[in-house]
Amino acid sequence: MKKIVDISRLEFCYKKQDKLLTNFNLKLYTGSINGLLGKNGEGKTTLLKLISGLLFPIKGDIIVNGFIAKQRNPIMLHDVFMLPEEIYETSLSIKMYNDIYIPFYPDFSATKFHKYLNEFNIDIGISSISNLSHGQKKKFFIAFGLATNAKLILLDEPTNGLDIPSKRQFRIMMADAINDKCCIVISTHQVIDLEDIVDNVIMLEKHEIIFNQTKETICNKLIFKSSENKELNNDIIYSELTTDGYQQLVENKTGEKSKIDLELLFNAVITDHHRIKNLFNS
Amino acid sequence: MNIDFSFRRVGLLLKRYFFENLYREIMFWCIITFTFTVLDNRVFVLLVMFVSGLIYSIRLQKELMKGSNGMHYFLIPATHSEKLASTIILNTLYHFGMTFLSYTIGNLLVILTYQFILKIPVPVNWDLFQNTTLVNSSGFFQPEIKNVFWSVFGLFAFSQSLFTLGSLYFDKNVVTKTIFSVLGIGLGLLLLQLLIFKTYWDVKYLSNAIFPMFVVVSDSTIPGIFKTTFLVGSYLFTPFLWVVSYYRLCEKEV
Repeated sequence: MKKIVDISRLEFCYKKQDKLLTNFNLKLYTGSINGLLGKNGEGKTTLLKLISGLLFPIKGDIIVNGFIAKQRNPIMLHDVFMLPEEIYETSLSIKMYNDIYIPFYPDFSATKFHKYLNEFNIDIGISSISNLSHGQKKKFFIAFGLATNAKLILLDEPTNGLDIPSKRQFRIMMADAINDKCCIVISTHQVIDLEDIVDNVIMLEKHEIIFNQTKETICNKLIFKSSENKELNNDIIYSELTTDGYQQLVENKTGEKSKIDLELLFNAVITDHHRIKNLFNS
Repeated sequence: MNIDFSFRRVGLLLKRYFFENLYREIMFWCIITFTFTVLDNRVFVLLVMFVSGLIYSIRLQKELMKGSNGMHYFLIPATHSEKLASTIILNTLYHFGMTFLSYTIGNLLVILTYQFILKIPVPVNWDLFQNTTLVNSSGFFQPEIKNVFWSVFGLFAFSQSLFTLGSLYFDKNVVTKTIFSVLGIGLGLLLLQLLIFKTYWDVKYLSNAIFPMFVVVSDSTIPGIFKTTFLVGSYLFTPFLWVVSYYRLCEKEV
C-alpha cells in the first residue's frame, strides 16, 4: 500500500462564502476503494475537485502521487481520472474519442476498455457519444477511466442514471479494477451500491471528516442487526424503524461478523458521532 | 510522459478541438466566405475578422473552461503552456489564416462566376493588406502603396490576446468588462505618459490614441531612446498578455 493522496491542514472556501473545509486532513492509500459519504453540501464534490487540482486550497497542502495537486502537472494528471457528476458533453464518436485521448494516457489498456464496454453493452461503433443516454455516457466514461490505469480514480455519483444491471456490473468492475497500484474514491448517496465493494468508509459532516474507518474495523467494532421489537440495551448504539422492523447498530463485544449496512451506519454516525468515535478509539 | 513543452500534445489538443467542432467550423467559414462574396470591401473584411475573432476567442475560452467541459479540459494531461499555445494557435493564427482564406475563396468565386458564366472580366482584388496613402513628392501628391500585413496581423494578435486574457479573468460579460478594463487602464497609462512627457520635455504633440503603446511619439523634443522603447514595447505587449494569460490559466479554478 502506497500513500497516493495526502491532505494536511486544508482550508477551503468558495468566493464570498464561509469556510467549507477547515483543518482538514486525509490520507488515501493504493489498493483500496474508498466510499465518501455525506449529506448534500458537506463538500464531497469540492473535496474531489481539490484532490484533482480543479480547485485550490486557501491553506494547507494536497499532495497527489508526490505532486502538488493545484499545479496540475501532466504526470499527475495522467495518473488521476475524475468522473464528475455532470459529465462532459462531446459530439465525438468512441473511436475518435479514443484516437484523441488515448495518447494522453500512456498506460491505457485497449483490451480493458473493450472488455468494460462489452460488459456495459455499449456499442463501440456508435456515431457520436452525444447520442448515448446519460447512463450510457456515464458507463462509457467509467470504462475509459478504468482503462487509463490511472493510480487515482475519483468518481462523483457514478451510479446515478445507471440501470439496475449496470449498477451490478459497476460493482463487479470496481472489484475487478482495484489493485495494489490503484486507489478508487467513490462519492455517492446511493450507499447500497458501495456496501459490497468499499474497503474504507469516509463520512463528512459539518465540513469535516467525522468517520474514517476500514470495513474490517467496522465489522470488528459493530454488529448490524435487525429486530422486530425495539430492544433496550446499552450496547445498542443506534436503532431505526424500517418497513422490516428495527435496524440496529450494536457494539460488537462477541466478535460476531455481520454484513455492513452503510445507510444505518451513516445515520448512526450523523446522530451520535461522538459515541461511535469513542468506540473506535477505544 | 515528460513535462517539457510537447508539440505533440499541442497537436493533440488542436486535433481535439477540430474533431469536436468540425461541423461548426465548416458552417462558420462557409458563412464567412459567402459574406465575402457579397461584401469584399477591405474595411468590412477586417471588421469581420476582428469581431468574429473576439467572439471566437471568448467562445473558445467559455467552452473550454466552464462547467463539466472545463473540468474535462483541465484534467487533460497536458501542461498549461501547451493548453495556452493551442488556444493562441486557434484564436490567432488559425482565425487570421482562415479569414484570409475565406476572403480569397470568396473573391475567386465571384471572379470565376463573372468570367465563366457572365463572361465579364473582373480584376482580382488582392488589396486586403494594402494601404494606399498620398505622399507629397516634390510638390506632387502621389499614391504610395504599403503592405500592412504584419501591422494588421499584429493588431489582430493584440486584440485576441486581450480578449483571451479578458475571458480568463471575467466569468460573465467578458466583452464589456474587457473593453472597459482596456479603456480604463489605457486612459490611466496615457495620462501618466502625458504627465511624464509634459513634466520632463514639455511635449506639445502626441497623436490621438487611447492606448499608450499606439501613441506615436512625434514630438522631436522627446529623446530617441523613449521612442524606441515605445516601439519595442508595442511589439512586446502581445507576448506580455500571453504570459499574463498563462499565469491566469495556471490559477484558474473550475
